Amino acid sequence: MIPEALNITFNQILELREQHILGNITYTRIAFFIISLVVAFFVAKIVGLYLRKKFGHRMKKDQLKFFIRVVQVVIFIIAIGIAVPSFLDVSFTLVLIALAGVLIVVAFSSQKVISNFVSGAALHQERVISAGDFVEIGGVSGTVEGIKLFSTLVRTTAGVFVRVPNDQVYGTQVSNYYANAARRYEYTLGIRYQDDEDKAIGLLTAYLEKFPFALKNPPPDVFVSDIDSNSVVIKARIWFPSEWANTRDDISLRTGILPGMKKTLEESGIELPYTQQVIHFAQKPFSLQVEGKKEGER
Amino acid sequence: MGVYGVHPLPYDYRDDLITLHAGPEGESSRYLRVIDGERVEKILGDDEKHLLINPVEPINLPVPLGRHLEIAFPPVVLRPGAERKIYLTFPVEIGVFLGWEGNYDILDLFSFAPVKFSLYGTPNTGIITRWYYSATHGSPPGVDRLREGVLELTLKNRSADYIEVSRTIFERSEMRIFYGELVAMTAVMEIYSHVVAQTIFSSRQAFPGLAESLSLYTAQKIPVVQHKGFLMEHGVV
Repeated sequence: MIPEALNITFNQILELREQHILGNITYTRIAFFIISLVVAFFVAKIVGLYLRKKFGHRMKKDQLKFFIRVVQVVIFIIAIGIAVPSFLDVSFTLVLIALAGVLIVVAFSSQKVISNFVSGAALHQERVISAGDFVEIGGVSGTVEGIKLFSTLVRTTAGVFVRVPNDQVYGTQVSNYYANAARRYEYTLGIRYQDDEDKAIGLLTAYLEKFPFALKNPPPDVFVSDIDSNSVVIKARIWFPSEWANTRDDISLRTGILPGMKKTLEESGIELPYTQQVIHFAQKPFSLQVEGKKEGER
Repeated sequence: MGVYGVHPLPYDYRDDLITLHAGPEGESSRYLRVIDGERVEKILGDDEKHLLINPVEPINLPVPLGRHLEIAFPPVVLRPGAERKIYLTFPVEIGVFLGWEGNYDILDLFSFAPVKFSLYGTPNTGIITRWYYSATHGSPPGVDRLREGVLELTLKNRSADYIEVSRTIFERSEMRIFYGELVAMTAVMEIYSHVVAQTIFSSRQAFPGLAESLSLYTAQKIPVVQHKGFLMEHGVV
């Protein structure tokens, strides 16, 4: 039993199709417009899946995500560009002119947004940073969570989640500690003048040889770098795997190695000196003379 | 077989190095491993029937930092076109798996071998490797199978020059480890120049009577892109 309201004939449907709702807009055009958007949606989805399959093993996950998102947005814009002229019954040229006008207005009113978007695309293209890298961006250091359309998300070593606008990332100095497989750290220790520096260097080299994360190649470089007012300064330049070094901040890397180096030296009788100064007087500063009788004298 | 193999529960093993126990204890099942004072203890499900203990690819401890094992050895000089078989040793990591045939999962991982990492190549294009030094042997050396395995490596000089070789590098997904009376791998290193060489593992068992190990990356179902061998592009010395 069909309700009265829905009991319409085929001819009535045909008439309804051409009925003007607003201006020249008919039900047919609305249907065409909606179908166009639905088709664009599925095409964008299919293209996204294809790109994921095609480039999944060649591109990093976040770069691929960004690339797919841009392609999908372009597909939607094209679909709207095709659907709108027939929907509004205006010429394609007119729509393009209107679109250009809208774009100019949008560009002026949201320069920052567009700048962020373009910077994001540039960052993906240049591949300076990517998700999982340990970076320092204008004073913010931490692990990149992802590069989104307009911003880069960074999780700092203190566990703080920081959102950095893409144009700021692009316009500032970026240090990527993860880009290379290995990173070099430098440690400085001072020993007393009377200690044997060759022995100290030998002991430190042997200690680093046993330390698993101090890379075998390139080998650690341990040498006397200075003789300052308090000590003979020994420097150790050590390469660590970036992935390991970046899971700890510099402080814990130093606290992990330096105490071991100190202990190694002290166990062999080499001491780290206190700050000290040897003072020489040009003249005898003064003398103290005590006058009086010696003990037992009368 | 001692430590290695499939062991029905309850299982107990004790020697100077290690104490292993798995099986019912009180109202629940327990796994216990003690090495040099370090104690690992886990509660197991009551329906666990056996443990699988075998050597796994030695790149997981103390933390997995890369996928490659590098073995350095005293230089071997090969004349153009020459082939030479040498025996090296490699560090052993031991995996303890729970489960049943075809569906094992890692329960514990330990090693008695020293750990050292290295960089193969330059900091920007190189890779981090687990580094190990081995003497070169003309025949299979006697080693403690809980600490070291034996690698039969066939060096093939495919170049027109004399080549000096003192290191070889393997990728984890390529490794095929066999165990039994000893832990062993068989590989070929094809040397194309002073800079480029390729290492390929052989599915052939160099030593009879050995069983193939369950690798950790297989048990953990880690997806890997399979390559035919590892291409060494940063030198063979």
